[in-house]
Amino acid sequence: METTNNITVLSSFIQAWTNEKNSPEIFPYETDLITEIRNHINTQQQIIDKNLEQIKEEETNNNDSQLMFLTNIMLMEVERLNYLLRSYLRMRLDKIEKYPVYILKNQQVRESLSKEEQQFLAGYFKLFEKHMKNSFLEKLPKPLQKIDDEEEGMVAKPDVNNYVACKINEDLGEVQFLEADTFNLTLKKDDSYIINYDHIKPFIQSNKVSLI
Amino acid sequence: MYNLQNNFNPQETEFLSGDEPIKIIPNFTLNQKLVFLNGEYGPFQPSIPIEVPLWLALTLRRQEKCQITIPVWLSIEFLQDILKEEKSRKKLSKLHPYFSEISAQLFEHAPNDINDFEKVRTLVEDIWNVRASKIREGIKDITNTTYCLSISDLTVMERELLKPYATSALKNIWLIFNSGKPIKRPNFPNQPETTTNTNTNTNTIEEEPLIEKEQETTKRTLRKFTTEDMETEQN
Repeated sequence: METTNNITVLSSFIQAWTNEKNSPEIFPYETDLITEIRNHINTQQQIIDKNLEQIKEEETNNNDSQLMFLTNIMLMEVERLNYLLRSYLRMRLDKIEKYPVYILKNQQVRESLSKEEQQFLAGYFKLFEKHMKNSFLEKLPKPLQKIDDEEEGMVAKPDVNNYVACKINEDLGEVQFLEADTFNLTLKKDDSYIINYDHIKPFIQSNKVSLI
Repeated sequence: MYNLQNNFNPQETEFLSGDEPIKIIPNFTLNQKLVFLNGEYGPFQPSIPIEVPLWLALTLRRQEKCQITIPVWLSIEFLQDILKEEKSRKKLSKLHPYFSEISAQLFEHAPNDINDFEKVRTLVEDIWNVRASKIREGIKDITNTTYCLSISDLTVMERELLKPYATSALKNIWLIFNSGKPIKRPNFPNQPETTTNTNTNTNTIEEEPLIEKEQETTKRTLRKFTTEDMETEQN
């Protein structure tokens, strides 16, 4: 049924948005979900534009108050979806700006970005490098001029040891986490914890645990 | 870097609560269906109840085109039961995850649809205060060896208010805990054993009655480094 599919589109996108908000890392770009949402927005926007034109033409007609009412409701829904999309994209862009060198060096992370985001990264890094060089790097002695030197700590990496709130989606039984000493936790369905992101990272990819 | 805050502020949780379904009784007619991303709603007939997302219900209510049916968990009897339950035990009761957001929005836009509006509002406030004091008590149990925090019965608003504090506190604890490395000593005979404290401890914000808690927390484990461990490490 179409409606059941659409319920999962919105709730999966909200889950992807929440995951992105809570984690220090960049998740794979949700191409399918975003294309579906944009398609829906485009069809609705076309209907809205058509309605608005019709209303303009028949200015004194009273029947159009209902058309205006309907158009307003559709406009509100489109605004809500736009807000979600914009917030999602801006969060990812902010993360890209924060860790440009790390992403460039990591093939796997780079594949999580969409094509447009990769272009943005290339352009941003070019500007960043140029700015650094012109400001002060050229005047430093040659060995200190690198901005991608991992050993000297020049590369900012996302800190996987941030603590995040998460919800368990499936019964996972007793799980052993490695710390200075190991500690065990029984993960039951619908429990929520604030826990080290590194510990639950493997579960997030398989959707057994989601960030909240 | 506003977009990189890792918690939702109250406006955002209110936005999220807007998708929750709620029953309304419209007083207008609309013969076509409203097509939204998460389903179709309609057609609307006067005096026939229909379920719509909360944001739509509030918009219609603002334009006085419907009457909102207050959900069961916001009725006086239910709230009084919850308040009694909250006051009688240490554990947090189960509430609708968007309890604060939905009740605040309904108070603002649909006060006339609520029976005994003032009483309901006082009850909601009391429940919030009792839970807030329980959460504060639960936070006091965070020690310098807490690994994680259980937050199963918090509503969304409470969780988002707690997150900045809890995540940074636990992170700092983790940093301090992991900055200590085993002390390396040279290979003298009759070396006294060095001990490092390792502790497995999960703290729950919601506290079980005291007897159960003592049985649940795991005991402190001491791990001793001996000279054999030193040698294997150096290899």
